[in-house]
Amino acid sequence: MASAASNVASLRFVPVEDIHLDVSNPRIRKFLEHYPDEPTPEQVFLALGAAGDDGDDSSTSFEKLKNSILTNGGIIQPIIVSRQKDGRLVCIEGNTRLALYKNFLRENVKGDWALIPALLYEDMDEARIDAIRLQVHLVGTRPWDPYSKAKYLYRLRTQELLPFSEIVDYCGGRQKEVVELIQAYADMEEYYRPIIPDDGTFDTTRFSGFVELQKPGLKKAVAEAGFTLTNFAEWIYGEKLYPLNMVRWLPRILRNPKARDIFLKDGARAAVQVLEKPDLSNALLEANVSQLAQAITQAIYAMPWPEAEKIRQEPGGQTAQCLNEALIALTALINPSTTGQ
Amino acid sequence: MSESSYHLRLVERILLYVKESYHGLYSLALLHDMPAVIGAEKPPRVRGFVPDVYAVDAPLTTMIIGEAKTSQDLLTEHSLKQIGAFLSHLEGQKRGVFVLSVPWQAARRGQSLVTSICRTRGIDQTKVELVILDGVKREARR
Repeated sequence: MASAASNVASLRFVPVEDIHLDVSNPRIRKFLEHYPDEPTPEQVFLALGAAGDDGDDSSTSFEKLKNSILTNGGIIQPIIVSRQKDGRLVCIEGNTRLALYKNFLRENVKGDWALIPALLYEDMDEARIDAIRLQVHLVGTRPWDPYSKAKYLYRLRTQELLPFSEIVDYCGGRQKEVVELIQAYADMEEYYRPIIPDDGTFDTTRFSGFVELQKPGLKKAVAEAGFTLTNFAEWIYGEKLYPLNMVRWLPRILRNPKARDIFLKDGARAAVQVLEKPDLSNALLEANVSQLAQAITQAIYAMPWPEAEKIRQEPGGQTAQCLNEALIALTALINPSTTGQ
Repeated sequence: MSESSYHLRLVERILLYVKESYHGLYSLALLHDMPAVIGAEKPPRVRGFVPDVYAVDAPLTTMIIGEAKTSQDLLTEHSLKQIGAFLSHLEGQKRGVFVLSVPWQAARRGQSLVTSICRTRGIDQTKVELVILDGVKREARR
């Protein structure tokens, strides 16, 4: 059990050069095990960059955090430091932020990087350290729902007039994602809100349908089939497009007269049943995902150039649609954090 | 100067133009295919082709597609299809702008090419703003 003293922290600005990076940090330990001796600060820095720390498991999050700190001129959330019995200061939480401050200081990056805001604990015991790591990394903060996030981004863009690059630097992510979220929010407000009988039934969980609508070819498919985005909003509201990932099927459904009629009457789930199903041989049906992935890779490498060009030039075509659906499914399988699933 | 280096210079010209000309739109999301840091965002595929420059506002008011062509690759079959795809896509936007960056010797050819593609594909030329960048003077028309 943690001692009473270790539960009391004080908020200080601590010299970054006095704080040691935590080499026992579970996320980077696997990288540092390759070094026989005590790792240097540069090696720790590299390990943090490779593993990510405050965010998802990728070096992209490291870059995002770096840009965010540079844009803000510092960190908003203090790091957590424990003063050990021998007086040594060790960073328990926020190693990436501390490493970045150290790096900025060493590289003479413009700004004030000598002192870092820190919650300083006196001689924290292992149980308390574990409790903090678990709370920060395994429980985490409660993320905003996508609609609220998009609404906030919309406000930053249209009322605060922040440029995209600045929004991305502040909040992380990619410009394309930010554009997509803002446009999805604008579409939902423009087309969905007016058809709702009253504000009480405005269901923000339908927002992901409007995010799907931003994917390439979707709006074009709706327009080419003679419908409007108000029709689309009505399909979302009337649950014709339910579950919401059914939006991805819309181009194929709308191009097929029979499927389109069924869709308008009974919804997308019924409509996809009549879409052309590939005549899969037993060998294909019995193959596992790994075998199928290898087969598709080989097929793509062996594909003649004109055939590949044809697929690229017809993004609404059957093959391109099937490939896009497979791509979405594969991405969701391998890296769910990028697909919001 | 190699062909690829020259192409990069033509792309740079588009980026400079977009940054200077659309500053009033409190900066667009500007994606390009220039060599940059690993993992940098590249423009999305537009009707089967990836443009050199793609700039968009959100909520959507303006979409700009920029393409750089050296004299050698301006009149290829690939360029015809690519530029046609971009113009068709821009025609459906609230405000679509197509920026073609070419060497000064090819400016006239570039303009004629775009006009001819629009005619062949039935694209309403009044719906796409065309900008030709030739490094000497800029030609723009609605």
